[in-house]
Amino acid sequence: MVFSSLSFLYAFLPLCALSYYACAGRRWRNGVLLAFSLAFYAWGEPKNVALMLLASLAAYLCGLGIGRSKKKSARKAWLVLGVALLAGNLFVFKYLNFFCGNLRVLGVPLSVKEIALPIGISFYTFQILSYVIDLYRGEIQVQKNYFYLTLYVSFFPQLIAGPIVRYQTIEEEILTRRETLEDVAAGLKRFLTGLAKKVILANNTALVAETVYGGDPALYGTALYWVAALSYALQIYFDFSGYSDMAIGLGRMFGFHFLENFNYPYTALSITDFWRRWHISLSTWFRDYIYIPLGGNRVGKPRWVLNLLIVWGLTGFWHGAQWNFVLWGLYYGAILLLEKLFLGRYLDKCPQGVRWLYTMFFVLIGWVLFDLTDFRQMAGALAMMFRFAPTDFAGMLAADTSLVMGLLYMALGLVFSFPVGRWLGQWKAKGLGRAPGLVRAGAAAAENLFYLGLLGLCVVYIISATYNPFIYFRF
Amino acid sequence: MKLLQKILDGGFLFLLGAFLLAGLVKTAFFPKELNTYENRYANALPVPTVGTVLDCTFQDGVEDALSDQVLLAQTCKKAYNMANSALQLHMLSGFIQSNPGRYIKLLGLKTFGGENLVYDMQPFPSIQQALEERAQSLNALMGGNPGPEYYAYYIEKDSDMDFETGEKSGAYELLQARLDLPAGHMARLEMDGFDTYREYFYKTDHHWNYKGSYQGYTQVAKLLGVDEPLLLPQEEKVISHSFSGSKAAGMGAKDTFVEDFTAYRFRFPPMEVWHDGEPAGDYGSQEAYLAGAAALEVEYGYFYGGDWGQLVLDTGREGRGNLLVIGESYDNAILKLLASHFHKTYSIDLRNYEKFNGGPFSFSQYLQEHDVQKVLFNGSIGFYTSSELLPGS
Repeated sequence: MVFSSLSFLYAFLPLCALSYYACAGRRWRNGVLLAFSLAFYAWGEPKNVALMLLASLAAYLCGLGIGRSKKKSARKAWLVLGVALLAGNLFVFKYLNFFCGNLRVLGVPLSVKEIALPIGISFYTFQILSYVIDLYRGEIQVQKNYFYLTLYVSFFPQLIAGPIVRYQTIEEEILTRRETLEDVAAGLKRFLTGLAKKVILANNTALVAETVYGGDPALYGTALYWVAALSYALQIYFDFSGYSDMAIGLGRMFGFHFLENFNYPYTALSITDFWRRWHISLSTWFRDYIYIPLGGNRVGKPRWVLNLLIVWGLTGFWHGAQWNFVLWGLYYGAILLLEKLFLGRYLDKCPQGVRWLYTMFFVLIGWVLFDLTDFRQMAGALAMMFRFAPTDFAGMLAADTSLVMGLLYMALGLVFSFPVGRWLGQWKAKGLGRAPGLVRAGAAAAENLFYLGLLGLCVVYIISATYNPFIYFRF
Repeated sequence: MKLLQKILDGGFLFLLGAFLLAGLVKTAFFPKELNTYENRYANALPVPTVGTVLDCTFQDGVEDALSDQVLLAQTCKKAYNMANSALQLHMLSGFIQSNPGRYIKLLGLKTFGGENLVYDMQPFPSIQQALEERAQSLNALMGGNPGPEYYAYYIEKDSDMDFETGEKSGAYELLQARLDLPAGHMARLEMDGFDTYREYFYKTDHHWNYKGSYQGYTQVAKLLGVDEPLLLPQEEKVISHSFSGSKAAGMGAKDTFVEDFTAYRFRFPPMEVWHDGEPAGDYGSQEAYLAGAAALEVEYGYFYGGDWGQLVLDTGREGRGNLLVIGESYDNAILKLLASHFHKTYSIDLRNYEKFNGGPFSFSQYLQEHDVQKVLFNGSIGFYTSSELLPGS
């Protein structure tokens, strides 16, 4: 199930919230959340619920082993077992086909049945791994209740697309959280913001990239290929950050406080800055569980370079079992390396506009590498971006006028990729700070009405996507 | 202020929750049967089984049901489609008008000539196999039932010609070469350019208009050897200035692309009508619309008549012979005209026959049960490539 589906909005969410708040005790409420979370996953992946429960069980047992072992070697053995089981599970379901395919290309006769990728396996595996590793490091307490650990793993807001919530973030809240009306309302508003990002902005800014990459290359010149890269950049940002907003908002509705996952990445002034703002839960995960254990930057320069490339190669590979993702990761690894070695010093001296353009230039190229899994198409798109070719505007428009709507949504997307919401919030706080209570109440009521309208608008977009008229029909 | 904030928050949550739950309750307990905006039955909640849950068809069914049944679902679609299509047309009308000789893709369909919504030409390789198979099937059918005389009429339209290049699909020529029909037993409404298309077809609908269908009637009558004067139009009248046809509906622009719906008034002889075995007052509502007395907004099917599985028109004119027409919705506009020259005219639409007549259509049996002298196959490329077109028996 996805948050932007009618099943989620009209059935799952209200039923889950009603059932949750109808229960009094923490255990019951956790029970409700667990049951609904499993139903949420089963709705889209009924056959893979068992796999997730088994992964959770493996973490639970290894966690108990780590918690009960006095000797470091025994704790380490449990850790290694846990990591091997979980990483092995991820490898089999996500990467085995890819490896076998590549080995076959190299002449090794391997034949493996095609394995479908279970939804969310990358996210929940990394969550579970963080539990086992943090436990080994002594940063968290062992969770002795399997159902609570499974609730952490399967909790529906962050189950299938993150953010990658670490156990330590919600360790206490599993048992001692406090839900307030303010939290529920604020969470719902955050959810609606994310929903709007997804269904209004992400889905429609994508039109340009889809048209250009799916159309006749002869029609689209250099300018349009750059616009297409920007279109995809906006799509993926609003899609992913919208999902994170929804997850964070939903968590808050049930008393959980997740960490932020995005911080206006397209305002970044360097690639280093970009990665501090983009998919924060993933980059910090790799930093804490891969980069630092490898020695981080407290090693010799060659080893440090290697560490960086390993981390970024893996970061790319985490996004998908395709070579273009590895290339994308290494691309960023290389740029970050250059920034850390010398480029950063020069960048610091440049005007902000130049730094922003520099960042967006490399980010847009990065999204082309990410978006186009076919290397021939990728190379073609990159060549078009760097070898001037005029655009046949009339031909392009005739080929598909939906491009115009895509451009309109892109303009809207560009505005909202900057911290407009934050500025408005600050402006509102400043303006209303000393205002009389009635004025503040009026503003609060207006805000509520705005969000009700936003829900209505999202519903219009979602329902309209199902428009399916029947021409030949007689009643 | 804190109390007021709580009241506001509570009210917000209540309103939002009530809106969503009302949608769920309506879908589960008060589903509507028809989706009038999309011209089809409305989806309802499916009954889950282990199999449908495991393969997710149940889940898809729930999503479909909600999309049809929640509060204001059709209003949402209508509002979105109107706003979206009107905005796009507003932005692009200058470009469309200034490029009349160019196909322009708009809302999933194409425009040509500045105001006509058109389908792409279906290239020969994409239709060849289906045409060959259907021709073979029809030949087997005609060979196996040698009693009546057989005729075929092919309606060329936008999908038979590329208006930019003038290239044609070649469908008619292939059918003509493959069908075992005597010379002079096959004809077509010929598409020789965009001007002909504009003259004979609606701008927003896929059917032929009053001029195209009248031209079709005259050609078919000639083909069938009608030996009496043809019906002449008594009057030409604009029924509506806001007709928006199937193509506009398909692209979600039903109220954005509109045109005149014009029709001829004919003086039809009296005839008895049966729809799928049931007696009916008339076929279509031509008189009601021409008199301005029709209740529904005009549609091709409402005006000329719908796609009944079996339609019988009986003029009672003994000795004029009986005609069997096997075709599609293009027939609707000419059935009463043709029927005027025969005793009984039977019209079969294979897409709907089985559903409303208790069993599959048997050509041989139908011929045995009805004294048919002439059989006309009539349709466009959609009919002659349809998988429903007569298995060769």
